[in-house]
Amino acid sequence: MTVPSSTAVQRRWRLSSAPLLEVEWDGERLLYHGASGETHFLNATGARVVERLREGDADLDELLAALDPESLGIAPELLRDQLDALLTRLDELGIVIGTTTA
Amino acid sequence: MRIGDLSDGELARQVRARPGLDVRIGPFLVNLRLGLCEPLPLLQRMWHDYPLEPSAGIRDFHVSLDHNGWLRRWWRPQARFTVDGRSPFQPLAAAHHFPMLEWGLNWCVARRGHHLLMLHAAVLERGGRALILPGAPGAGKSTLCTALAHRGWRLLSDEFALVCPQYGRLLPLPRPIPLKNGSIGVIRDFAPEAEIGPAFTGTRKGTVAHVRPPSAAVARMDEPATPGWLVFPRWQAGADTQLEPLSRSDAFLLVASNAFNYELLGETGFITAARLVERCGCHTLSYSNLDEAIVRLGALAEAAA
Repeated sequence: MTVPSSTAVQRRWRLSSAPLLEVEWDGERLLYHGASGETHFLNATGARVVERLREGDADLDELLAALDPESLGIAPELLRDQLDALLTRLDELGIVIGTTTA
Repeated sequence: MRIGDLSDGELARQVRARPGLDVRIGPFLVNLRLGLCEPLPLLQRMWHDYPLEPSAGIRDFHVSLDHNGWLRRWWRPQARFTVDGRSPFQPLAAAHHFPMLEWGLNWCVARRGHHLLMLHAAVLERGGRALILPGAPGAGKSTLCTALAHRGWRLLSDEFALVCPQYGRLLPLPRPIPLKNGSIGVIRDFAPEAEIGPAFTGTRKGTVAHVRPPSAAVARMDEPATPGWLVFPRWQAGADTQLEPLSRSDAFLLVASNAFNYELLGETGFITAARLVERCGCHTLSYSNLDEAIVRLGALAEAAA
């Protein structure tokens, strides 16, 4: 597990290497995490984050860009906070791994 | 040969002696021995159509029902259920012999059938497509299942939806349907042709009486069905009949929480449950009137035909 979020450091995020299986219905995505055996529900934001991380590592700014705050109709700062909380939660669940860079 | 083809004497002899009776019930081969004679008449009625397979190679369960010790034959008689020589439950009153045997078999299936995704659900079939009725106790699953099984739907199972991971089909396990308390009278009125066994009073589930699985359902228990509909029923006194669509993600959540072994199967459980939901129309059903509920469910089948 990585250290809690802090604005003082920039972290890069990647998906864990454990198998992730997904299905999507009506904009809701179900994620099966092979390492824990747990099934999780992701909303559209969560699903886009996982999609982006499948393409490669990303930091918070890169993930924010992928989410396109304007299209979501959420203020960028609010979305940033929500994204930070989401990544911390996904990290706790073992789905993503954050690494701190200087 | 079927159980019903055996004379009373021959059934009693085979079930008391080694190696016991090898009975095919759906995908399972059950080896049965009885140390008490009380269940025999009901066994012959309720298991009447099950085929005997004395030469089958693999027995899934060795089950027996015996007196719980010498003293308990005479003083407050008790019966003990064993599977493969072990007793998973405390002994029960010997008078509850047949419910105990059926509950014991449920336990066996739930504990051993892990090559399949198992949901706590009734399953019926029409036009080759399966109607899956997952239900918590009290949801009216068995009552609705019995009613449908006597109104043109083929009974696959009252208790287990057995989903084959490889092909996603539903495997039949047609067994006696245990009606409880008020449901017994409801079905007696609704389907007088249903063959209902004696009422066992004072069981842990109240009064229980079993409905014999229709012969046609047992005769076709080698015919699986493809998923058709997932309907989550809820009986409520005085409720209007409402069949409402349910989102697939909500249906998935309910399926996973209703399964005996979703987590145990890991990825296979996820993939099998997801494919099941994907192939089904998903609904909730609130009802108090059996006739109306059957009409609504029949309309689903007719629309798909």
